[in-house]
Amino acid sequence: MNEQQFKQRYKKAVDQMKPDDQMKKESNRT
Amino acid sequence: MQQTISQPSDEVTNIYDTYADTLFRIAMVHLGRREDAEEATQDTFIKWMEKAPAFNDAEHQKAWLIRVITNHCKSLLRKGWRKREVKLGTVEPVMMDNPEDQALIELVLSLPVKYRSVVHLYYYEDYGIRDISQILEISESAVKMRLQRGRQLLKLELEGEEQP
Repeated sequence: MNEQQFKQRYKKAVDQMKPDDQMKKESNRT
Repeated sequence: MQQTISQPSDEVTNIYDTYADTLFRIAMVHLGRREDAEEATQDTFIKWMEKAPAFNDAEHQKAWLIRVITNHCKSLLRKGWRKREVKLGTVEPVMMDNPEDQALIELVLSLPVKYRSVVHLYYYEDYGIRDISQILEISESAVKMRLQRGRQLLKLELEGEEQP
């Protein structure tokens, strides 16, 4: 795997990581 | 009857909406578990609200938040937080949509934490060597060394010298 391939795959994988909406709602009440 | 629960200011809401995903992802890459990443993200925003630092611009603000959450995650890991969680048997691995993404994330999570921080900021956030040096408050040569070592551990084929 070269750097460019890693970067594309890593970005795609990390993009799937998102906080729950519930967390946002709770934070907005803080 | 009047509403007595205080509502966040527009500024707090805007800052949270702008940076929550970025900070959560950094925490996930360090801690590897959703619940802990969410808590670390909230802790970081609380620290921002408590300290209320002055920033020159949005990039300065983003860099401060990234530095705070990175240090917070490293502090948790240093305190043996992960060992404690493993003992309790509550660690849930990061779950990706497909096995290839899963394997890649697990590979990055297997890196020592000091390489993980640099690899994430370089390859995901697209920061240069100098930016990472300023954000993490380490020398540019340290960033280069950590990036180089991270690449070796990830077995990446180099295509050229990185630009600061």
